[in-house]
Amino acid sequence: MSILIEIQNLAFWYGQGSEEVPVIKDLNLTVEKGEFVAVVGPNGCGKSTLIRHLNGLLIPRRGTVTVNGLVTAEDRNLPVIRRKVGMVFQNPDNQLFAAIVEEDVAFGLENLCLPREEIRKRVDTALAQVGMAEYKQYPPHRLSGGQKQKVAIAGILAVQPECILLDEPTSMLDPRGKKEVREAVRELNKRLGITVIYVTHDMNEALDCERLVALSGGNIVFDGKPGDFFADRLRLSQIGLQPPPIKELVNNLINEGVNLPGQINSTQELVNVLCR
Amino acid sequence: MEGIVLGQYVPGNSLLHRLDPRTKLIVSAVLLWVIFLLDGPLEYTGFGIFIVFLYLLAGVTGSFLKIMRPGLYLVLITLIINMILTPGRVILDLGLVDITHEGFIQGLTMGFRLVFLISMSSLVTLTTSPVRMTDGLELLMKPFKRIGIPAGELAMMMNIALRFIPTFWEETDKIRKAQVARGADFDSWNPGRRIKYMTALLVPLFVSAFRKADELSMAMEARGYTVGMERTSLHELKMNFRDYLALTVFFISVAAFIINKYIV
Repeated sequence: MSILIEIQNLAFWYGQGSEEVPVIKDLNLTVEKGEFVAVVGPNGCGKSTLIRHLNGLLIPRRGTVTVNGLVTAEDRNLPVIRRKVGMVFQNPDNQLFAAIVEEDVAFGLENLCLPREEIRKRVDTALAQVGMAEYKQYPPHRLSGGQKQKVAIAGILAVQPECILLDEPTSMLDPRGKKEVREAVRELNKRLGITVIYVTHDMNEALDCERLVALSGGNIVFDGKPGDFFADRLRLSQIGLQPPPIKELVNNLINEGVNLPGQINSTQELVNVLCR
Repeated sequence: MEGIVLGQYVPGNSLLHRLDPRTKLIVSAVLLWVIFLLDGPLEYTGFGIFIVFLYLLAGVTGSFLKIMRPGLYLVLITLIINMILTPGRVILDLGLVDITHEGFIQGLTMGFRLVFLISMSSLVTLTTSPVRMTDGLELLMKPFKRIGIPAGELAMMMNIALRFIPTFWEETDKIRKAQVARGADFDSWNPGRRIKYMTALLVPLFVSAFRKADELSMAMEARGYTVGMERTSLHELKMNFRDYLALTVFFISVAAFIINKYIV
């Protein structure tokens, strides 16, 4: 595997403020191509700030962020970086701005000055990939939250990025919308091999990923398998996070003396182990 | 929510709908100027029939009354003021004021001009979807880019504004309900209180609009947009044979009209 994103000694603070209150301090992280990384942490721990560094929306105050070997601090690298690394925001209403779905998906391609036939082709493919092909003539305000988020994802996909950053894409959606979006993102990672960096508050979503990065107070406090992260109750309570219900159940059972392996991550696994 | 129509656009497939927005904009601009050249009952009748014909052609006659309603008072006031304030031969003595022959003619002329102006300009918005309209305006303004008019950016702004009308409508409704739940009375007869409650509606609305704008600009930046960049477009407007034909016929008719009127 080759390295896609490399963060070295990143520090960042907003405004002209002093260095004493950085949002992110001295952070190091490498993400390889094709990974599915969840980023979790309590409010104000710097999650959004961190991922906005990955496509150059924010520039490090200290340290470096490189994407595919390109440093984000150089202005002339930004167009390339933004084509490689797409970003989906939290509120679906504030990122769709065209009057019709397909025009919105075409936006990024129009910015690349592609010929019309190519735009047409890529828009149709991207909408089909997220399962929104039949809605291409809809105005965005007639779609549900989950559908809007999928259109936003299609808009990123059309540019054919190597990496998608999602900043709490499901936090404003109902359970069905959450599921739709999560499945769409998973598909992209599995089938197209797109690297996904997924910021979330929902610990169930975090449990589904291959790799979990936990932030607290502007630095990484855990980087590894989600199962291991949720098994350590002491660390969880120090960070201020609740494990997902299934992990809570498994942890409690172990504490009560039931003989179970600690890395059970789903109801199905638990059933399999218990009914053995 | 569903009741909101963006602009006045009536979807359809008539010849007028299919014409390029640029053609329609140019023709209507010239026609608006022609209205001021009209003189005498014959020409007014002719122009009136022409407009009725266009409305029939576009199949939007049903919208005519709806469009005229806001302008109706303007037309009536113009008519009345002209009738009583123009000096001349009295045809009707109403005690305090007199209606003069000249005033009556003047009022009618002005009234008809207003009706023509409103119906002519509405015809374009009735038959052109907002998206195509902004595309057309962008292309028409493109030559002025040299003198510093940001055509692409203006069209982008108009598109975004149109897209966000329903969103803000929803937002307004939400804030309104939230304030009513806290005891606000938006239907109060007391103007002082009404202003107070309007502030309670408008301030949150503006704050949310600014926040939206902020996030939106970030989303646009993240997708590679920079102000002043060259862009291509998914839908390109194309001038077809019918556009050239319509423009040719139109300009020959206007030229004939003017030559006939001022030279012959």
